[in-house]
Amino acid sequence: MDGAPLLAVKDLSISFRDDLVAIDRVSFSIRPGTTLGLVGASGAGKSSIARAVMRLVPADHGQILFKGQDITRLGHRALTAVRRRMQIVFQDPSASLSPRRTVAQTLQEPLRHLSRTSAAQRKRKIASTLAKVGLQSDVLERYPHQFSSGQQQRIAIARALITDPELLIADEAVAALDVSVQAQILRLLMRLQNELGIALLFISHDLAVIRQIADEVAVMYRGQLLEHALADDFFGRPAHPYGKALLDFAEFRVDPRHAADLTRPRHSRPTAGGPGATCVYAAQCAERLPRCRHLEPPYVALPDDGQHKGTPHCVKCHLHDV
Amino acid sequence: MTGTAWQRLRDNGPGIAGLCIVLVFALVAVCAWSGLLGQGWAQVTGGRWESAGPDHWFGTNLLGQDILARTLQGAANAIETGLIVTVFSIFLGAALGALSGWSGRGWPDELVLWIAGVLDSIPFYLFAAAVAYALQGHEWSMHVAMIVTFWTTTARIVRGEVMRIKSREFVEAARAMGLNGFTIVLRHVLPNTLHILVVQATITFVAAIKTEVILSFLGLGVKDGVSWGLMLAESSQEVLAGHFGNFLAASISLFLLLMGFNLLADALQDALDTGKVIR
Amino acid sequence: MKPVLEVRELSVRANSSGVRHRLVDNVSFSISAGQATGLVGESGCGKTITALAIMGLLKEPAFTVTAAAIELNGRDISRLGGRQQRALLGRDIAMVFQQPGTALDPVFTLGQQITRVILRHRNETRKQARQTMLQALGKVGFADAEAFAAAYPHELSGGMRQLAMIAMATVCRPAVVLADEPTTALDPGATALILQQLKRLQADHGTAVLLISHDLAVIRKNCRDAMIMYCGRILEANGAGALFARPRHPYTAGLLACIPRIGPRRPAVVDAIGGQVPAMTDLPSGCHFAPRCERADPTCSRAAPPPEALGGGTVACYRPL
Repeated sequence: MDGAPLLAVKDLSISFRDDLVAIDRVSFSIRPGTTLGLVGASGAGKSSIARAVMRLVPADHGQILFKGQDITRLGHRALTAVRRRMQIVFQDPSASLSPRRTVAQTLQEPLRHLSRTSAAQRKRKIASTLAKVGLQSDVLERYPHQFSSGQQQRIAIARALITDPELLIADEAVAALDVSVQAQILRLLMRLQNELGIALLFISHDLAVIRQIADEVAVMYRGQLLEHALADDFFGRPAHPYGKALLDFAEFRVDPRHAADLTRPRHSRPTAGGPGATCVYAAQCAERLPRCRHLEPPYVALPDDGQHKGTPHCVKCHLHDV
Repeated sequence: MTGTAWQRLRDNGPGIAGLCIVLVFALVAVCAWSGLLGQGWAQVTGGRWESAGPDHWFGTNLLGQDILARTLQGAANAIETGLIVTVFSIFLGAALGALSGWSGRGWPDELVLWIAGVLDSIPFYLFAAAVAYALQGHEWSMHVAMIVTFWTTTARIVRGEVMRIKSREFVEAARAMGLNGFTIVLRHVLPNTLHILVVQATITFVAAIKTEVILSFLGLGVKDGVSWGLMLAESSQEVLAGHFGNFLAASISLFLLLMGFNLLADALQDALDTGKVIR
Repeated sequence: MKPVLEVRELSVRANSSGVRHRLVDNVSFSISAGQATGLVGESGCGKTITALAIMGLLKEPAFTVTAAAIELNGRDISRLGGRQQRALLGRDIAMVFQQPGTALDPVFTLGQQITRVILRHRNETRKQARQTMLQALGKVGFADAEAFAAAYPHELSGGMRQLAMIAMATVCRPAVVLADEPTTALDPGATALILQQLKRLQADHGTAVLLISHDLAVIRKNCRDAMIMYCGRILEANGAGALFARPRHPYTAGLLACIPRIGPRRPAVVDAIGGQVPAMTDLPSGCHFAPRCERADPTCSRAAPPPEALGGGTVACYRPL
């Protein structure tokens, strides 16, 4: 059960212009063939993690390890070899497919750029990948706008699968789809995971979707990772007050304290670490302790209740700090 | 994509009329180039200022040259000037605009904008005169002057469009694949600016022809051939003597061609405007 | 109690280059004061068009709107002339749009936009209007109303913009608010807050709300009544609780099956509805849902099933569950 992780992120920090911290010392790992659901509000940093892992934005501190190899500062050439093993599917399929290129051209591109294949091999690969995502070959000569959003997302998934990646990042991949289509695409992703053994980093703010697909759950808030557990553990006994709040939101119960997130003028996020830091969630927390306001909580593992499950239930909270 | 655009164009009456006018002139130009029409434009084939008749359908000018032949040759010249200036300035404008837009606010952007700014500040006709002088009256000096100044408009439009497209997800998808900037711009970004470039091309064509008229009037334009501008320049004397043949031929042809292009440009813009969709 | 908004046999046809197809087909419903009615359906089913038709925003020649009646507090608003209609919009009936980013004007501050609405419909001086505007912002929950009044839309998050849109839509205390997918672009925290805000409106001002959404969970928890729309037709309508506890139409049941409950056990793989929503230009004859329905038989494709009373609500199905 405990294999070497496929993807390991260690102490990753990224900040944008000025001191806007997007990701603050985040660490997690994903084992091959499993799904990690990354949840949190808009602006929590989930998409930034996806982009950081795909090396689309540079990291300030920390490491990104893919199959044991440090790819954080890898050069362009070497990165190409890694890129075939790691692909991403974006939220809006009508925006993520190039509008003036046919489906055939879109699917050829990763093969041409990331691998050495002959035209005949490419043709075969495209045909087999289309079959995997449930599309017919008559889609090849058409343009993205001629398809429904469900079909477009299948094309985007085909593009991501075509180089046989080991890790697939789905950044709100079903959020823009209708409910019935969402269900179809989720089933597709889960089937692909079973058949191909792909690991999935699934980013979403919809807990119902996460419940269906994730093996493990990681909760983000304002750039920090507040909780990480097996899905059953998280949904059964959420440890962090924010985790509990998220489950409440799904039932449309919201503590008035959270209104502040929406109704206070925006201010820059807390800068990383250092003395005087507070718990990033303290202001909204219903179970706040006095020390939460002037001491950053440590990231601890909850005591294992004897079931030895492999992934410990970790939480960054003073309430669980013994 | 072009299918629906073509349909919309077909439905646009004025647009089709414009297209027909342009095609007629283009046909005339081709015939003139290949020697089928308007060949006798330089020869003195009749008396001075003969009125329209069976020998000279439009009459003759001051020197006895056939106005019709000169008009047809002038059409060829107009189309040629328009094409050369348009093709080069659009190409240059698109390339520099894409470079500028892609680099965001980096130094290539600043540089291109600075050059464009300088060029835009120079009064055009002075610039044309300077170029003519520098190239010692070479016949392409007029085209060079126009290309070097017309590209700025296209560049600015393309720059804006590229900056907008740059943040779209399909560009991010291309970057996620590890493609470099040049490939992404060429393959994914520029094709999405084609609708703008097509419209801009028609506008540039019109501007080139109008500019040629004025340059020829000033003696900075066509020298060895004949153009409508030259004909208009000649006619300024003739009109005073009461002979309107030259003037009418040149100005009516000019008006028709420009009108045709303008109608076409408007129709193209409507047809290619991907924003107008009623769901 | 007489309903605040009553819509009877509303139909909308789109006229595009000679082709006329029905976007909305014979929709009828009513909403009482202080109540929320949900209109559920997937994209393209005609929900937004229904709202726009009620507001009178769909004009010839692009659209043809026909209705037996659209009554606001008993007064028929479907055949009003331009000036009367413009007086109505914003004051008696208002709409909250799906994409607050594009619905708000980017070159004016929030305060300016809301004040403009006030000045249009109420007899107040600029000073009074400003006060009303600040109050309205405070009421929807903005702690520092002055700061937000001075902010531009692009400086705010999606959730904040949507709150501002609600403030703008309700500043003149309209009797009816049509909320078109107000929470679709928002995360669950902001969604919960926005819906809470709408509930407050219903309670405090007796506003009738038509809540349009493709999210059944939203409708289930926040509306008293609900209607399921598919390809322009209402397939089922009932009290929200009854509708979701005991769906009668196969489509409703299918949609419900797509959303699992969140609980300690991982749910089994979801039973999806096969196929996809047909294009509006190419609708199947008879019942539009028949091709995707497991219970369909040949009669279903021959003629559209009329709505029949069943289980406290209405269902348009020959073979309801």
